[in-house]
Amino acid sequence: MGQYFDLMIVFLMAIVLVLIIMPVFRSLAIRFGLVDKPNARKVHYTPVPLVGGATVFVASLIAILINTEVISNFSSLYPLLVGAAILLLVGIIDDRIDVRAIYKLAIQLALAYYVFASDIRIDSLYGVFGIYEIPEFLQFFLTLVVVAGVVNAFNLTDGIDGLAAGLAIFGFIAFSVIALLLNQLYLMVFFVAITGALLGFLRFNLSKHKKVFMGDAGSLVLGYILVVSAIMLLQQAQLIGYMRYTLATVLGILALPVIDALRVFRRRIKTGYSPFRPDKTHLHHLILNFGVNHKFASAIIVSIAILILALALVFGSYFSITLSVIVILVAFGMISGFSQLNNQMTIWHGKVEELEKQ
Amino acid sequence: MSKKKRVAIIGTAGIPATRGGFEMLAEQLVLNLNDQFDFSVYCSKKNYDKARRQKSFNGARLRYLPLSANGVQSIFYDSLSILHAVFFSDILFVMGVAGAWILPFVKFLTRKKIVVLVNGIEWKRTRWSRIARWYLFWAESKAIKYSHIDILDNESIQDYTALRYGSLSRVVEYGADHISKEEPGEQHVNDFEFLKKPYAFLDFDGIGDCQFRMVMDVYAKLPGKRLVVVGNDCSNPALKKQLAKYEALPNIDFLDYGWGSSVYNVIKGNAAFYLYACNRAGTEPRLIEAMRLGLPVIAFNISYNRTTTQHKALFFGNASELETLISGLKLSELETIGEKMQELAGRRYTWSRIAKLYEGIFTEALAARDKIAVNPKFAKLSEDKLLELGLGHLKHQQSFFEKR
Repeated sequence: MGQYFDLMIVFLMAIVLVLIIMPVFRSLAIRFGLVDKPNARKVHYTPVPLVGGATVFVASLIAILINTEVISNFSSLYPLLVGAAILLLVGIIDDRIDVRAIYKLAIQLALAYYVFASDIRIDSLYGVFGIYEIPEFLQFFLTLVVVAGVVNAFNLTDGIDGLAAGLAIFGFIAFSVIALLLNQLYLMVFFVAITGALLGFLRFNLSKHKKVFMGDAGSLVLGYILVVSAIMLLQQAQLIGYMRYTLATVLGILALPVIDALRVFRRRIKTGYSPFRPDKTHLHHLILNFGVNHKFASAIIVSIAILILALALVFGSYFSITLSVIVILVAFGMISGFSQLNNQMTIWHGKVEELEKQ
Repeated sequence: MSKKKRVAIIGTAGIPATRGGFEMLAEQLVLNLNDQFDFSVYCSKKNYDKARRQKSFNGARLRYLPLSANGVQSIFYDSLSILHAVFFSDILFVMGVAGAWILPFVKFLTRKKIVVLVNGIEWKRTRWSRIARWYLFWAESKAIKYSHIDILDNESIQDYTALRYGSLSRVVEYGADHISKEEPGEQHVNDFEFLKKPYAFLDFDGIGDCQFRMVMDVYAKLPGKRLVVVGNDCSNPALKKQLAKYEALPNIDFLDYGWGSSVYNVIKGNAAFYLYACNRAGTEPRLIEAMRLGLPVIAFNISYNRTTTQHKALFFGNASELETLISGLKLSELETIGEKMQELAGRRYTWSRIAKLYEGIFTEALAARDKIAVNPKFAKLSEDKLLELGLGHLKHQQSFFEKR
């Protein structure tokens, strides 16, 4: 009873802290030009402050400091918090003055190495395609690629109101359950705090007049926390048990941003462009093409994420992880396939109308 | 004497034709080309009851399936026809794209030649549900990519297929000389008093189709102008309820007669002009039939209609323009346009000409290996290589669909 009450306090405190801090950060952002200016590719029309990520991080950090479980395991949170803080700083600078992509990647790889050196690493494939323990050089390579990859993939999901936060909330709720199963209560507190802070953030992100964006700072930090937490949970599951549920949950949560990013990169390369060339072909752009607003599109994509998690859990628990990976790929392929078809149809509809006038 | 090549005609309701378009095309191919090819035509049992089913028609074998050739069933109808025809035919002539999902397998696993007739840009039509339009959009790509030759029934769609698929589509319309003008008899005049005075003729396809409401609203403002609307289903109670508002208008008549019936031909053939308000892609068989009958045409101003009438009809872009046109019509002007339409139909829309074109296409398909693309293969060579060969100018050719 006491434990859950503590959680509730942390959760509520995080929400309230965001509601208090956000207006202050928002004013500062406008004053110092830390805003997102609209352009042809973006879906908003007025400059919006980019302080969502910073507010969420600060509020979460303060909220967890009142929890004894966290205090007694604080050192275990260092890789998460230090890495997140560095990414937050780099992200804020990037939001303000556009840091070169190669520098950002270098920071991300350095942080990935820091995580690896802190013994948080992918040391096994946990039976995916029948592979288990892997040699150390492969652990190193995989950890760096996965951490940097997921951080960037999650960053790319921050394209419409409520999406990155919605996916992160969903992810942290699922991870909270796993953390509880694995008796990692300090992690659970941390996830609950972030969830509360994100809910507070959504109040502003979905607002018309006091709108705030996550910013690259926020989406990079959330992606980092999600992927590092995932690795930590997997390592615990190896020791304690519940590996199938843990792995299925991790795959289910991270699948959508990663597969969408890979799909977009593949498409850009196939059409002869750089994979990092910005365009409107991410899943959220395709869903918007159905004529729905941002909130509804975010809701649809979070629902897809829930479906993917459900498939991962069912197939991972009752059959095999390999099968759940295949099922996830097929499901995502079908969803993005239909969305892409609709997108193409919309584009060609316009082109044909132009031809008909000639 | 070499054996005749076998052509399977797939995707029509069947022959003898009870409607224009695909069915009449199938019938005319069988009538005109049965010396050159051995035809099999797949027909729907839903359109031909037991008494009307035949084993053959002018030498063509008729095969019946218990499925409808239209709607969702057309996917299965076409697919089963294709699967069956693969065992018996050299050429699969598929009309429409409903069964196109199976064509990649046919192309890669068999040596059969595939000729596809793409009927307009069906996925753009709002009468279909979103899911149907997704399927048609996807199926069209399969039909064009995996056929040896694809045919369009209107030149204005050629730009679209060239742009989207890089395909050099053939353009073959329909014939209209199966129809001829029928003079009204005494009984007709007694039954239809509008025959005594000038009237416009409109084929009815549905309230939501062909800007029907716009036309009705225009005629509501022109009580002195008569319009006769003829459709297959006009006396359907559900439809009558929706048409009640327009049926109350004294200058508009709604008649329930099917295409091809004697009464339909009489009413159509004796109209003062033919009104075609559709904006759908393709060549409308009923429009070219009206041209064949020498009817002046007033059509919606869109590329397909301009192409079909070679810009010689009268065109309107909206209700106001239509109202102005109809109000200001002169008999002499109509006569001139009617003559032009008839001349054009007599020159271009004859079944002998159409059949000849198809003969050429089937013959070409038999020898075809790869599909002819819009952009020649040398365009894939690097510019440096072409310059080396003294052919640098070929790298930047302007294709027919790139308007200057």
